[in-house]
Amino acid sequence: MSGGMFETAQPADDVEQLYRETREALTAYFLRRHRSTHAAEDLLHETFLQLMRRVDCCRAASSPRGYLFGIARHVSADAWRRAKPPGEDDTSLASVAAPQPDPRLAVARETIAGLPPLQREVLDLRFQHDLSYAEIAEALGIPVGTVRSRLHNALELLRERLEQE
Amino acid sequence: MSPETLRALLVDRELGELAPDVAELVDAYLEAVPAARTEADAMARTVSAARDTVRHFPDLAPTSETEAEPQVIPIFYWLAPWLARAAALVAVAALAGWLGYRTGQTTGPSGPMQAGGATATRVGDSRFTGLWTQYQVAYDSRRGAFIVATQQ
Repeated sequence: MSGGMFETAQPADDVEQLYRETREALTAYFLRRHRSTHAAEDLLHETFLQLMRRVDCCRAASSPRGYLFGIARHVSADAWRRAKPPGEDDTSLASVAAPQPDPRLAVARETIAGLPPLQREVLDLRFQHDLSYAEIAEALGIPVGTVRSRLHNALELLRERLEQE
Repeated sequence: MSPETLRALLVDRELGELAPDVAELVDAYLEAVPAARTEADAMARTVSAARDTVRHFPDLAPTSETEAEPQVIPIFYWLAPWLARAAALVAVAALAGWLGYRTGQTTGPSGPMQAGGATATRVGDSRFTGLWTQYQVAYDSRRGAFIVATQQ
């Protein structure tokens, strides 16, 4: 086949290692947001494709994992902008809520649902995906101090509400 | 230590974000101060509730692009409110200066004066007592001109 040229980029070892380390976490990240395993897989691949285009930036980042979650965040947002409502997929993620929620969780859920999206994002990255302050800062492109203050404010409000109950 | 500082440290401690030497100091403080220990326990329960809730309810994760952070150089982000105030002051000063200039063009020792389509009139109205009430500007639709009244 003349004229056709396919570039086959061999992923660098560090990117491959990053993939192995973060694949599950990123899949869970996309599952929570898109409720579909197919969508989660596609978005995971899209994330790493984007990473390969800017692998030097990732290596230069203070936290490669945080940088990768930052890419995932944008990939997820782009997918939402392009697409249809989430999953009539047969592999859609069913609600994991237990039928009889703990009253403490019910209050906490209501409180967290009322928080601004940026605070919920920080809570999600910390408590669901176990990112450190520095990784969250890298992912969201904000200072570490901002991450701390958002988290502290959210927890302070949550504590007040829980103590009222 | 202020309560706010303590609570912030307790959150960081609970999340494992304190440097080891700072964590040791905080632990020592909690042993020495029972009230602080109570705060730490309350914060631990709060963090636990937050973790359980976030994991239990995936719909709490924001699903669309959240508000973008301001795409400005940080120093301008810090200066922006001050620049806005400075710009507002300059605008007010310029307006006041222009009004004063226009009034100066049209006022005289007595009686109305015509200048550039505006008529200035002196009034002995006790309501005109301050700098900003020294002039009043009104539009006379019969004459199609502005009337500027000044403090006597």
